[in-house]
Amino acid sequence: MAPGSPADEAEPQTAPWPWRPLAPRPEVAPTPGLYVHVPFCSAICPYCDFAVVRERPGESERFVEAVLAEAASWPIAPEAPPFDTVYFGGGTPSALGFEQLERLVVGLGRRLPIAPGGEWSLEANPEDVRGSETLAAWRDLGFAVLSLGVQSLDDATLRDLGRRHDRVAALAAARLAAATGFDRVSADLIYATGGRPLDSWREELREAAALGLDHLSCYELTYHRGTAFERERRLGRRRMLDEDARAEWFEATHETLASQGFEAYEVSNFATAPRHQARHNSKYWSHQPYLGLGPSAHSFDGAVRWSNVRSPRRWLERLQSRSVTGGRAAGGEDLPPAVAELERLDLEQLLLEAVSLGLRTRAGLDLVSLRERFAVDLLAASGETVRRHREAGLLELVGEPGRPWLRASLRGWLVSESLTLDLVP
Amino acid sequence: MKNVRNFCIIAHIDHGKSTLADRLIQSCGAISDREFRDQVLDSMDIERERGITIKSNTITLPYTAQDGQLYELNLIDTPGHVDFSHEVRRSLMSCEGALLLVDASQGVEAQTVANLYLALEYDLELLPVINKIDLPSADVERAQEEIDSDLGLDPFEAVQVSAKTGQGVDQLLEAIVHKLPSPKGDPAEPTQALIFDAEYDPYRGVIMLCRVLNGELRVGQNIRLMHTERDYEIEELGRIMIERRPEKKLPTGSVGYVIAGVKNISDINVGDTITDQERPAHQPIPGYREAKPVVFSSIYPVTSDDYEDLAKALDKLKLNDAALTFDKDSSTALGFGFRCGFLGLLHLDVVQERLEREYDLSLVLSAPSVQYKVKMADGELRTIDNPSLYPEATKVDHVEEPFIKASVMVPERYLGAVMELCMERRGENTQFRYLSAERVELTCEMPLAEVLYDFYDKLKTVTQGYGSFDYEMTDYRSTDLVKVDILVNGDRVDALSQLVHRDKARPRAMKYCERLAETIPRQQFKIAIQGAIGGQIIARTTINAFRKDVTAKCYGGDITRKRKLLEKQREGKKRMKMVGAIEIPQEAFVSVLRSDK
Repeated sequence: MAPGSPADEAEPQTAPWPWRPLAPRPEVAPTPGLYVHVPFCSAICPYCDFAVVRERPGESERFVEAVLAEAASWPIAPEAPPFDTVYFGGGTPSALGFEQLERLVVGLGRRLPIAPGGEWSLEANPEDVRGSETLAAWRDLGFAVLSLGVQSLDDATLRDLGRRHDRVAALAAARLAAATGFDRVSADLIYATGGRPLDSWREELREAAALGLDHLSCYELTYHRGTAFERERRLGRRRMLDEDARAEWFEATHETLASQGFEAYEVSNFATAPRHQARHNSKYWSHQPYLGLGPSAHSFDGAVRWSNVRSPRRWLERLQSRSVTGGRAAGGEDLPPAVAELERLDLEQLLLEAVSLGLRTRAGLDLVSLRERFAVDLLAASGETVRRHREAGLLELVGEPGRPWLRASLRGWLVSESLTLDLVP
Repeated sequence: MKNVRNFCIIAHIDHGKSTLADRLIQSCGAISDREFRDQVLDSMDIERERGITIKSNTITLPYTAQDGQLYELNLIDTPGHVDFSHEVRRSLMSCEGALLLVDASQGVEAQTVANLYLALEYDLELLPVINKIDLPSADVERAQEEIDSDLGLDPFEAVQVSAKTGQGVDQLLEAIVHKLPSPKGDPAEPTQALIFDAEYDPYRGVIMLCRVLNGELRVGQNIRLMHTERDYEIEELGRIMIERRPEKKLPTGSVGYVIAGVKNISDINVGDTITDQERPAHQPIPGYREAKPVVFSSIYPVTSDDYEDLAKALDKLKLNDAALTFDKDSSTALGFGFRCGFLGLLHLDVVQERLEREYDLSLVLSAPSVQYKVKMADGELRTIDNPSLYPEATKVDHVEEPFIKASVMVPERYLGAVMELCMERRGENTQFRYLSAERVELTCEMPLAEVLYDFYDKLKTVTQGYGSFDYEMTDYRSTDLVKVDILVNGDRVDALSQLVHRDKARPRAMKYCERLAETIPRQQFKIAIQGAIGGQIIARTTINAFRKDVTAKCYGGDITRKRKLLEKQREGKKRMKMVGAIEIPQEAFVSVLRSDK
């Protein structure tokens, strides 16, 4: 048990194995990230399939204590390097009160090894930005990165998406945040929601790019199973843009943002400079390890993936009750109380992930590194495929002599799933 | 011999032949009720399920008639389908009489008539039987009229029965004894016994079913099969009374089984004559004809791993099915398989179903083809049933294809539709005759190839199920044959090539193209699907490239989900066949080829 945890807390049993992150390559140290899932939202958006709930009175206090308990339940292997990124996502982390956020920041720092220069990120909704004081308080708590859930600058789209803020609030929050002195301010936008011309989206992107933000995440609207939108789509009340149109919106997004000085470094992520690329999220795409706390949070130590109980209230119950133990994984391992599923990946699965994730990034696949990790030479094994896709303009071979990288072009990004399957048949 | 009756039951599918056989067996007490199961004589699952008989079978029934005498009734169960007419002929040759079964609710059908002619050919005494008289829809009077008009038999001779309830079965047994003749034959003549069917027993080898025409067969006898000129010694013989019942000898006129150390079913020919080595008959029994396949198709396993299993399964089927032929075949698209020959479409169907069901194989079959006689420009004559072996058009002088005489019986109101269908199928010399005021028998000469392509389905549709169909092979006639290739982005898909009449090439090619366009998933580039005769494109469809498959978000928890999806897609991809750079799912072949029959 980590030192310094208050004795009066209802600590669940210790996790059956310690947190021992592995690096994607043996010669470098891993740089693990820490993720905290805050499940509370004032309303549930009709497209959202995250683990979210509307908060009941007093629930957020219990949640904070449970996150700290979960953090404390992890024995840390002596050789484990500290977390160098911490990300509060959700849900709506900004829905937590200042004191609760402070308790989390301080409490996590006591229970887990977090690097002094580690980058802390906070997701926030525009309606929670009540003025420059809120922003300054978050900054002073140690959050260097603010990710605003703007979603749209168009009032009709915001209403359609069931958001609780309007264009004016979004613009104000973004401008204020940009002026607060965060290391990086980002905004999320959703497109291809239907019911508007492509040109108005291009216009919106130009407007967003001019707000003084460092980073934008632009997501095509996805119809997830179990969401209100998906139900409406199935009933024929809502129409999803067809594949050709969605491709057109994707390309327009990339072209417009490129013209505004935002470089796409991942399929849906854009930054004004390399230093503004999201450090925490980049770990997901480069197979770095991460530990997730909170309901539905996922963890990956470099070889094993596990995920917490999805339901926020069941997660809370598990962590509040001393008697509850975790389940058992398919391989027979005892699981920590909060964990619902565990999966040990073999090399083949890791390779498939590495290629599919790598192709999502502008940097692409480091072929030398892949060869060292998996003993697979993609250029030799899938040479004909690579040649064909390069000819078709879907793949590009870049990098220095002796250090080739294979990356997807913009058109290649659109079909990167099938490229993945072609490269690792 | 005086008290022996050898007879068979001939009937259209579904007219209740197997049920009637069951009832006769039970009435004679040959089997206890406890041992009884429906369709006793149909031993294969597929026979029971489809209600058809594929193999001939036989049973000896002791029957004490009302005159107090004990009779030996030998019931020879024959297949009812034209595909198996070879077996039918052999069975008919073993009988003196036949029960001609007519369904009281359906009346006389094309197959009944065809079988009647067959029976008359072998000079059998015919006893009409009207079955299913218990059905509410039974129309005995109409059935009697049809027996008179369609079959030319005396309707008042017809015994009325319900095989289901057993009603009338006693009268039928009496009629068999009194109206069917006893066998003729000379016990003093050299042995002549007809092999009318054979089956394979894993412990005993081949079991031949025979009818002794002259002389006798006895245990220890040295015998000779006259056509194959092979010699054997009889190890065991006897009657079949559900189980094999060994005896010392089979006298003139009797029906039974012979085991003589024959290892493979292909070592003997059904229809061959058994004689005595020391005192051979002067001549074999006439009418011997080898069962020759007329329909050919290549069978491929869906997964190439199953090739060995397919090979073993075919070997096993062949043990009991001498008419099935197969040779190794391979296709670039579908891998290794077998080119198989069948007696007809039903035979093909039965083999496919047995392979899939009894051997748990998942198969793709190429479009069935007939056998063409190809006269080359240099005078050479080639026989070709496989499109991949078809020579270049410039080297071909002319081609002949097999013709059939098709017979369709329909209620008069469908006559127009059936004539149109036959015309469309290149029918010639269409003739019809009224069997009664409402029923017509239409005959025409038609290429066999036209029957292979959804003819049954079309006939059922245009006659609303009332049409019945039968055919016999007649001759070879000159035809304008072309080889249609299917190209995917310019690459030929060899498994989809087919030989068709020039007039049918375009619509057939178009249908293939459209089906493929529906089943090949969109890929990273546009795909052209074309039908071609040589270099000439006759049909074309396109599949547009897909544009987008990347998911918008991919963070912590999405990765597992994404990977599992990729793993699943990868499994699907492994089952794809590559043609050039195009992935074609197995389902595409299946959907194109399955609809062909």
